[in-house]
Amino acid sequence: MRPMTSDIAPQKKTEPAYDFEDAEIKASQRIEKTLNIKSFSDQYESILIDYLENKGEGSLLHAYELGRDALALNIGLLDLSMLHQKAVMSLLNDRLNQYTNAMVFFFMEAASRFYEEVLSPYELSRLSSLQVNAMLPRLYEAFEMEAKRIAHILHDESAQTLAVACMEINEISLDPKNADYSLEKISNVMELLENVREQLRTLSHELRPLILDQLGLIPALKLLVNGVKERAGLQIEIIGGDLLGRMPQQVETLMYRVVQEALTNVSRHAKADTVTVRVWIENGALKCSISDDGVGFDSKSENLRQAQGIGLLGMKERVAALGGTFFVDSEVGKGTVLISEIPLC
Amino acid sequence: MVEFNTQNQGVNEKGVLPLLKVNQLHVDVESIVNVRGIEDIIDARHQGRELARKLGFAMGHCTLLATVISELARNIVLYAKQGEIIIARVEKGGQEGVKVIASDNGPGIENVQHALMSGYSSSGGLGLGLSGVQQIVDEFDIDSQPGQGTKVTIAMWQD
Repeated sequence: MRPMTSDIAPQKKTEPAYDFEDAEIKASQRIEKTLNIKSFSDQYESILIDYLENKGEGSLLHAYELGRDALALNIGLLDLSMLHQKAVMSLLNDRLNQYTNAMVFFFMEAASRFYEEVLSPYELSRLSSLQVNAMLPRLYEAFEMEAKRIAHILHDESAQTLAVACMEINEISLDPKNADYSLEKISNVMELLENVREQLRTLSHELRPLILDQLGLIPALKLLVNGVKERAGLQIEIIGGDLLGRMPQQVETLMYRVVQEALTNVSRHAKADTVTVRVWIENGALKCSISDDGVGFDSKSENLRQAQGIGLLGMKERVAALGGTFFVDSEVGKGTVLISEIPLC
Repeated sequence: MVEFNTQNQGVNEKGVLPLLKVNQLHVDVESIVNVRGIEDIIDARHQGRELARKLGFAMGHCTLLATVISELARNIVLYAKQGEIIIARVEKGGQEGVKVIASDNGPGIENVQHALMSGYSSSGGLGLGLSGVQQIVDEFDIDSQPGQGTKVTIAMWQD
């Protein structure tokens, strides 16, 4: 066991001060966004002209792509509306001298058809958000489960042990003169307190492993595995990894979470005896496989979402966000393998 | 899966919506577009929009159909490089609609459930794609296996 000092050292408190560097980055991001919007609105006008002149499906596809770009640039719907209005007005202003009333009418009709096309990705996004909203309750449920798990450890393990320690001390206080008896009791109490310290340390480590920042992925995984081994009574082996150096922080954190989530699932559902965690680097990516000899499930079933649990689902999203992949292969009675890879650059 | 032929003869769709089985589904293929790039996406959108217009779809409805075709075609070009989009007129119990079948022999989708979730994008995109499409259309079916291509079938009916 490592010495305790580094883990429980008090953290430095930083005063919330004005962060000039941060402000500078934000300002440059604002400028960049403004420039992007400027070039976006130039593009908008030229594609709108193209549509008004040719009325082709090609410029409507462009309009739809503009709508997608606007979403990607995070342009709000009202700003987009203003931008469209401005483009239409400036084009109309240029043509007002040559246009008859009927031509103005057709111009406006075509412009609104163009705008409808630009808006269609926003409609897609609105509909998708309805789906997300419908999923949120399940996410909250998952958070609640996690809170329950922590509360359970604090109450049933740590608080119980502390209660026993209190009782022991109480007994000592009833007969403080009896040196032999007291010494034995005191060493009991110390052992109990040591247990509690260890439980709390493991718990806080699971919540946010300091060792991950200080020493990197592999030592953090080893500590995680030791904790799970003890609590779940699993045989867990980590293979590879000893040769790995430090990797980008976000890669290390995410891979840690992947293994953590996988081990949580194994200990909760798999009824496994042994788990093997392999870590290696291949083709510029950090790869990891977690395989168990548990009961497995049908990974090809329609109810995969339920089978895997929302935790893995969220993990897959996070891995994909870093350009990585993540998949689970399992069959009833044949254990489960989870393989994930995250590119290192 | 829907069976269809190119001789404009109605065929029966088996197994879908068993309660409505009494109403036969007629499928007439209007056009088949080989999708390889932008020009083909434009063509497919145009064919779809024209058919919707002919069937008297509301303007906004036509736009959404074009959007759906764009998303499906985009996925083909992005992931499979090439594929096919079939646009068909469908009729069931006096109601008319547009059916679009987008298929490719590309890498397939590893986990269809995930791909149908909001915000999912394996290409770092907006993740609008399939989940949005699924919400827009009246009927949606996807068949995909890793390494065996993808086939998405959608239908939109007249209001």
